Amino acid sequence: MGTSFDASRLSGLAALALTALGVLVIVGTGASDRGLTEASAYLDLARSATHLLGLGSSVLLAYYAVQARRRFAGGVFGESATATAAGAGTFALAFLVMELNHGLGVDVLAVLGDMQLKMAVSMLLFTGTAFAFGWAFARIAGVLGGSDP
Amino acid sequence: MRRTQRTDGRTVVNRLASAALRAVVAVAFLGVIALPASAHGLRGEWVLNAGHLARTAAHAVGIAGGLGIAYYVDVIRRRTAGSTVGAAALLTEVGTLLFVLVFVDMEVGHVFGVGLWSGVASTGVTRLWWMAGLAGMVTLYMLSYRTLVKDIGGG
Repeated sequence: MGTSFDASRLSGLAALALTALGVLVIVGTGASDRGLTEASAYLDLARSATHLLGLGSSVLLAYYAVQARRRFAGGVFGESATATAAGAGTFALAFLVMELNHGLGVDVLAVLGDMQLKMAVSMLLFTGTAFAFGWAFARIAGVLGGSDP
Repeated sequence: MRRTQRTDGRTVVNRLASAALRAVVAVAFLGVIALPASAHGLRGEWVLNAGHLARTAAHAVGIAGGLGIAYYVDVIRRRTAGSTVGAAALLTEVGTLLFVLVFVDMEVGHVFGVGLWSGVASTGVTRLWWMAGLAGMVTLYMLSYRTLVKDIGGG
């Protein structure tokens, strides 16, 4: 049990490190003239750093959720953890799409054509995160002492 | 029995408050959509087409849903103040309100062409603030979930 938990923790940290490394590489390779769009290089770096923070936090959130899901599979906590992992996933996806576009100029949503539609999809991914986490939190709170208003 | 009746009464009041809050959100959004239509000075990039409607709809769903979640979490926070759940609820509430603030700023900018930072900063700073707000939201969610999971033994 202890060994599998340690392995899970290590794999979670490895995913986090890889994500951080990937974003740094994207920024590094994009620093020439590929994709970076802001007038100021500092703004570009700050935006990439913000994406990095969001990606790191969402991967860590997913990691906690996967840990909880393994321990409480079949119960309320397990369902809550699944929703949390899904919400963290949609957030990470949205930020990854944004950073790919920002850092490398790779437009993953190009198939949608219209810029407004692309932005709407990103917004819906963020909204999905908030809904999934809200639902997950409510499930846990219902068991631990809070209840449905 | 008395406790049950009191809980039922509180539930009815809370549900009425929740419905009133949603009505306010709906009216506020009708206003946001209707004002530019009346050509009242400020206008953003909004025009009537599928893309802009989809973006506005996505913002509207996010704002209304976010306010609903914040209200729900606030009720839980007040009921469980001082406990682990209360601490986690506070983080979730702040994160969700941050999300709502970013989405309101995005939609006001979309429809009216003005935002929290317009006039004092560039578009780049505005975009950075949006990303920072959303990253802050997910970081607060992560800390909230971490608080709960540590309490229930999730490692």
